[in-house]
Amino acid sequence: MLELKNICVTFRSEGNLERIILNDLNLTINPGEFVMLIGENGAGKSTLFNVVSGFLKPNQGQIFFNHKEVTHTSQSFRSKSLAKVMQDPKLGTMENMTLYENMAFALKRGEKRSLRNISDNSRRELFREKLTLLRMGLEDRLDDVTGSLSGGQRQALSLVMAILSDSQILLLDEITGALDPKMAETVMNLSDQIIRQEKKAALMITHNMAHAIAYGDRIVVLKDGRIAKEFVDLEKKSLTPKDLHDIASSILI
Amino acid sequence: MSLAEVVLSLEMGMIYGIVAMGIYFTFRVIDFPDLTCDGSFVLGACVSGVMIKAGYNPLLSLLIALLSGAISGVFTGILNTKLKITNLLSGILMAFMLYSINLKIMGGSPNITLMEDVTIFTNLDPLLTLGLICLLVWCLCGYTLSTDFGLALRSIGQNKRVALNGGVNVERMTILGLALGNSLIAFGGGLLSQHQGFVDVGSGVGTIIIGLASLMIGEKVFPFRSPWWGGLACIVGSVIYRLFISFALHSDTLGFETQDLNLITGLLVIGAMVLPRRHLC
Amino acid sequence: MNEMKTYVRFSVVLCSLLWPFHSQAAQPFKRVCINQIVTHPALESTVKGIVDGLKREGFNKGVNLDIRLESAQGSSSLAAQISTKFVNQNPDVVVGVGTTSAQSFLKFALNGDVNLIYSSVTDPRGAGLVPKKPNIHISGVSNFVALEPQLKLFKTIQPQLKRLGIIYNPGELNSVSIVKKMEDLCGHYDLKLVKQSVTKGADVPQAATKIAQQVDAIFISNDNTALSALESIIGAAKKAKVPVYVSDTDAVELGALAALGPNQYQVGIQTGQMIARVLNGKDVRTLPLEYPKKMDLYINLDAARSLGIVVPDEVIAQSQKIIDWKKS
Repeated sequence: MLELKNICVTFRSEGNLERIILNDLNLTINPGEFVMLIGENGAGKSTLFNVVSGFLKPNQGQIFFNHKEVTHTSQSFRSKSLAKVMQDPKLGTMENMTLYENMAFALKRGEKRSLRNISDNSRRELFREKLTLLRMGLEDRLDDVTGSLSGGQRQALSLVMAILSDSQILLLDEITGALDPKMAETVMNLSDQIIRQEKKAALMITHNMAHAIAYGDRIVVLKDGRIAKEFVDLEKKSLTPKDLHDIASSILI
Repeated sequence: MSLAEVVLSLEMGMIYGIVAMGIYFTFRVIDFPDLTCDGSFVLGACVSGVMIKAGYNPLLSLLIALLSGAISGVFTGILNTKLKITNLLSGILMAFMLYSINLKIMGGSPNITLMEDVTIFTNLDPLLTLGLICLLVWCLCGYTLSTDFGLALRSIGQNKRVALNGGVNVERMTILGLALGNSLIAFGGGLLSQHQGFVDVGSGVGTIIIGLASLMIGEKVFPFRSPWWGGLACIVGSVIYRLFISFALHSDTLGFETQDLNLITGLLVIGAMVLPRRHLC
Repeated sequence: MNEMKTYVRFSVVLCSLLWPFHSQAAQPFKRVCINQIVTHPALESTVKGIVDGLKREGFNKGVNLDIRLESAQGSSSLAAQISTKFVNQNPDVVVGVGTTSAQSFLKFALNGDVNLIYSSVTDPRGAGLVPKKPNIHISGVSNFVALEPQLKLFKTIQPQLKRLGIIYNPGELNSVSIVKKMEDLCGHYDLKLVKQSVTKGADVPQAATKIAQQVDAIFISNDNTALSALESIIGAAKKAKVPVYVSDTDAVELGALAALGPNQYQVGIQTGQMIARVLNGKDVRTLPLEYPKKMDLYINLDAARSLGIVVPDEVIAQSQKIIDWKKS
């Protein structure tokens, strides 16, 4: 479960101009809930992610993972409970390592890394099983170097890496950006399925309005550093992409 | 070239191969251009030499030398991660300060002979002993880098964002990586001083160049990703480099003079570098 | 086709690594191999002295003597490779010019594989070159210069001398020994020794400028680092109107005020003569360590004039060489 209370983030640029990026933001995501975060460029979506993951510390406010406060903890501490999939597939995977090595690395996220050899048949079985879910044929390429994969394939791999460990909180940053429509659908279905089955609290940034409407439980619109509007259930399902797009760009608080 | 010269090239190649493995740990595995080596190499030699002169077991002296190298690596890591000094400067500063520390360890004397003391090579054949030691070091390094822990170390050198996302404490791992690398370099220094029979405080100058040249030659011969090949590349590259020097020493019969030694060696290294790259397996 | 090319390349490299075998030719001559630690004017003089010393004893290069020379460029690992190369050429005598070069031959001398003679080593005992065990085939000529006569000379030229500065590299064994001895001696002569250490040649100018302000005279012994930048020391001393004394007589021409020391060339001659004794059949183990036989006194009157120092007549009378451009 993820809770954000009164989060404020400001940046002081040169010339002493203070810019408020996140303005008293409150958000709660329950286990098993899949929340879609939409907003214009510059609304503060990436900043929000950075605050949750620990890369950035908020100026004010509190963050709770499963009711425990983590506001001032380090990224490595939070990684026990949180997995993040980044927008840039090149940043999310290690390109000179094989798929197996990338996944073995992700498997131990947040855990103590021992002197146990990474080559293990049971691990290989596990990785094959997870990769098969993608239906991209990646399960046969475990020993290929990740750099030989296409951008979309690496993006999908990042997702699988994120769900390998037991992290209860999942942050997904435009994970379908580099995928063709068919692959995107597979990936979204897979995400939906995993989040529900494993009761993860998930937040996804997307610019794809159709996806935001079709998948997930809730749409949250970020505007000027705070949650401006939320859509759930029927209201959500009855939106059209164009509607949503207009709302997102024209909301007056 | 006589057999004895080839044997010497093998022996020195293996010693410097261990040093190159230390540099592999810092430059390649954690992607940290660490220049502490010129200092930590001599540190190992000094510690080992002083202990031998005091009558301690030569093997113990080597282990303590290894430990001293690790400590110097930790300090470089602290300079970089805690005091936020850039990686290049941290290594340079540490090597610089180690010069004085090394002289202090030697009791103010810049040179001590070990000729009449018991070293690890006194009763054992150096080629065999070094071969065994090298094999042991190679296995330990190869295995360590193939574990979950090793993967975490490698992740720092590959992509720091992924490492951070994977929950790796980048600062702590950097310090560990530096400690491991410099412990090998100091170990090599201790081995060299026992092999050549004396410790000289100036013998560290140029260690980084020798180490990197050995590493790069080796990577040309074995351009494979796995850390097992990486370790082998260090040793083989180092032996080849020593053979090049040995060969260049005979260039006087071709009409070259002794001053041309560096030129010849350099040309041989360039030759090795421009060999066509074999495809990655 | 590509594979053929690789094989050809490999075999060429392999063969060329082996062809220098032909240097193991039969020797009608006596063979002397010299391993010099670094190329440096003082050491060059020594080597020249060795060649000439051998000539005096009847050993001429190309006639009945094969002399080989390599410089280790200051690297002890290179010195080791050079030594191994030389030992395998079946020399009659190997020569280590400089402490580290001599030490790199030690393990071969221990086994009796080779006769080792060292030269230009200031502190052979400290360098472990004077072994306790009797069976080691080693001897040599040290270039240690007695310090007391030098101090006496300085005080004679400058009776008011109170502070003596010394520039040296603590990384050179020669210098560390000398500095220790100097400190003791200075106490007896009511002098204060001001030490200035440098780690490399590039540090010398700054160090010299600094120390020249603090002392009445500067002394440079045979420290390789200081000697490599001697001109800058003399220049800085001149500005501060302070004389420079040296142990190397060749440096007096460059502007040092005086030197009481062995001529490096003479040390070379002495070494050459010792080598000749071994070539003629003497067992090197029976030859004791030698110190320079001759000490020369050189004075530079031009320098004296520019410093406003009047060199006493009896000193001039005892000197072997006076440098006086004004007269000539």
